[in-house]
Amino acid sequence: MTEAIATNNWEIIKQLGVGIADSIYQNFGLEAIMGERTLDLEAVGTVPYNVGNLAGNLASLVGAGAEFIGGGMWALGSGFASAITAPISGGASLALEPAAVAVTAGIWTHAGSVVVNAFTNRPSRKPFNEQEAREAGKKYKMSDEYFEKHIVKNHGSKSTKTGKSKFSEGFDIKKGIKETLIDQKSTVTKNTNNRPGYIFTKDYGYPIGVNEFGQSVTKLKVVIGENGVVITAFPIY
Amino acid sequence: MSMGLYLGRSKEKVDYDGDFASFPQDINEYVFDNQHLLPFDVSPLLQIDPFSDTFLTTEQVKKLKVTTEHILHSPVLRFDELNYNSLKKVLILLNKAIEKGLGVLVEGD
Repeated sequence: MTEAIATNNWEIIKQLGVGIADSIYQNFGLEAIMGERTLDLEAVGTVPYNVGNLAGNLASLVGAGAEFIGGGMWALGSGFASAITAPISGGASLALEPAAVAVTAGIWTHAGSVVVNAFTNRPSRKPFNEQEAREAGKKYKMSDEYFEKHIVKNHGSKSTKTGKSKFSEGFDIKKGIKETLIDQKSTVTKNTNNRPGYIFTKDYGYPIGVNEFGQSVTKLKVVIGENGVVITAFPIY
Repeated sequence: MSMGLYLGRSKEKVDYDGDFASFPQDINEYVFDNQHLLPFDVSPLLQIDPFSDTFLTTEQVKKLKVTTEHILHSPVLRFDELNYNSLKKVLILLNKAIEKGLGVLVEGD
């Protein structure tokens, strides 16, 4: 960090700042009110961002501590004030005490949730929902044109594209894509680096193609968008 | 997740017939899965979408070069000869782009 400041490396400083701001935003529950967001999507996942996230979580704990103390002070202060003004108000101020206690309970509840969030916060944007992913897989969409121009052109058995894995000649790619997306035994994960979409992988247990080095591979990987649109499909290890 | 790399002045002006290198699928996946264990910045690699085409400016190429060098020399990562040679070709191509002030088109799977 010192080096980043000394060398005017604002990119690192910005990523760190975004990490701090994002974690505080999440820990204090602002996502529930204002929605899931980040100050800069490009910073997410960088080392300074993750360091900033950690710093933000620590700052959130300090903030939560202040909330605990503040909430306690509020309860004590309100109780004391209502008690000493009781003779003047004819005891009416004592009726305010439950409200003051309720406010304190609210502050402490929020502080507690901040503590939990600070300990459980991870630098990811959206939790992965497997059921949602499998539903998107079942409703997959793929145009014939895209299938030919992208998947067959790059990964078909007759493709001349360098550095790409290729399906075996007899392998029915369209059928394979369908099987991979609807088979409950296929593994499903979120798309890489928090990009929207899902990755399905099915192991056929026998060679279905070759990798970029010409070695036999048995798995089919299909990437779809969150709306089920097929982005790509290719054979892998 | 293997990514093809070509030199170019812009996304529209790519030299598909010239130099080519392939960022190995195995290494890309391994780095992605173990990013939190690696003691160097892997974001220049992870920010590239491996499933679509991305054009990197010379400045972005410089950052990817640093990450690639770290991966190549990392004591944590071990590769077979095919992957190692493939990654070395990537480094040569990135250096060429920097020397000539060019960008690199990264063609996803």
